[in-house]
Amino acid sequence: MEDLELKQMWQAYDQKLDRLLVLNLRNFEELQTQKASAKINGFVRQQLVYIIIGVIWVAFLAILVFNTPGNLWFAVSLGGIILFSAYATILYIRHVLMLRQINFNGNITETQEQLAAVRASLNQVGRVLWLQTVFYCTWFINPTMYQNITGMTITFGIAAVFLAASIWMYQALAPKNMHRKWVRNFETSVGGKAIVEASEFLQEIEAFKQENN
Amino acid sequence: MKTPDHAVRQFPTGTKINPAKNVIFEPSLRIIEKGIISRKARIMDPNKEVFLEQVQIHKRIIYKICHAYCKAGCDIEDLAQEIIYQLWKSFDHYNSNLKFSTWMYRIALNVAISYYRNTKKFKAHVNEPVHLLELADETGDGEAMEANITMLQQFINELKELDRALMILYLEENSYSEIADIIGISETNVATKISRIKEKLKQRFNTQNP
Repeated sequence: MEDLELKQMWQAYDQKLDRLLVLNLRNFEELQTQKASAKINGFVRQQLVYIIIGVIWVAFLAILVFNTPGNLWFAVSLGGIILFSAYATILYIRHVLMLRQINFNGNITETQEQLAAVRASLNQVGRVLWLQTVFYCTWFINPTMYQNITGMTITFGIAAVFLAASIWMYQALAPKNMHRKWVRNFETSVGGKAIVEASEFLQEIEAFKQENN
Repeated sequence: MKTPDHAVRQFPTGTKINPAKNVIFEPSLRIIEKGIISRKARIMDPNKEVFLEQVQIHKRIIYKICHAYCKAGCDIEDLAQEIIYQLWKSFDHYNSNLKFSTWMYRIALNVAISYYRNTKKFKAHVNEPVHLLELADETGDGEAMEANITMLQQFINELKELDRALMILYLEENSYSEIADIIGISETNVATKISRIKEKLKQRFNTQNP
C-alpha cells in the first residue's frame, strides 16, 4: 500500500460521488425556513432554562429576605445563597454570550477549543454551587436557640462539616482533577457527562497542537 | 422559484434513483402553497445564487465530510443540511481573499466535529425531511475498488476527530500550508501527523489485504 494508492482510492471515491451524488438545491428554501424556525440549539435552550430558573430563585429568596426583617441568621444565610445563585446565573448568561461569539469560520482547533471550553466551564457552576451548602445549615437559627447549647453545638458542628466538605468538593472538582476516575464518575452521575467529554476533548486538542504528539 | 440550470442533475445510463427518495419537490411546494415562504423570498437573490453554485461545485466535499463524521445510525442528510445552513449563515462574512474551498472546509469540519460530539443537538431541529443530498444507486462498479474505498472510509472513520479532518484534507490534495491554515497548527506538525496517520492506514490495509 503506497501513498499514491491511497490517493487513487480517494479519487475513485470522488469520481463515484461525481457520478451519483445529487444535491437538491431546490429544497434550500425549505431548509432555511425550517432552520430559521429552530434558531436556538439544545445547549443554548438548556442554558436559557437555567437562567430563567436562576432569576426566579434569586427573586424568590430576595422577597423572603425582604419580608422577614429582624432575623440576622436568616438574612445572612439567604444572602449567601442569593450571591452564589446569582453568580451561577451570571455564568449561564456568559455561556450563552460566549456561544454567540464563536465563529465557525475560524480554524478548527481554535473553534473546537472555544466550544469545548464553554461546555467544560459548566463545571465551574457546579463547583461554586457546592459552596452555598453551608448556608442551608444556618438559615433557621434564631436568638431563641442560643440558650440550647447542645442544639447550637450540633447545628454549628453540622455547618462546619458542610463547609469543610463543600470547600473540599470545590477543590476536588477542579478541571485539573478531571483525569481522576472518581471525579469523572461523579460528574457523569450528576448529569455532567458533556462536561467530562468537553474536558477530555480540550486535553486532546491541546495534545494535538503539540508538535511532538 | 427560479433554480439554476446546474442544479438539475442528469443521470448517466446505468444508474438508478431510489424511488422512495425521489419526491424532492413535494415539501417545498407544500410550504410555498401555504404561503410560509414570501413571494419576495422566492425570487433568487444574486448572493444566494453564487452561494448555491459554489455549494453545488463542492457538494462532494460536503458529502465526504458528512460520511466521515456520522456515527453508526446517524443521518448524513441531517449533517449535510446543518453544514449547508451554517455555510449560508456565514456567507455574508466570506472573505474573497480566501479560497472558497478553504473557507468551506473550516465551517464544514467545525460543524461536523461539533455534530459528531453532540448529535442530539442538531437532530432536534429538523421538522421534516428536506432531502438535499442523495446518493443514487449504481451497478457495475469494480468490486475490488469498491471494497477498498469502503475500507479506506472505515479506517478514516476510526481516527480521532482532528486526525480525521487532517486526513480528509490531505486526501483532498490540499497543500500542507492550506491544511495548517484550516486546522490551526504548524506545517511541520501537519507533516508529522500525516506521516504517522498514513503509516497507520498502510498497516491497516496490509493487515486486511496481506
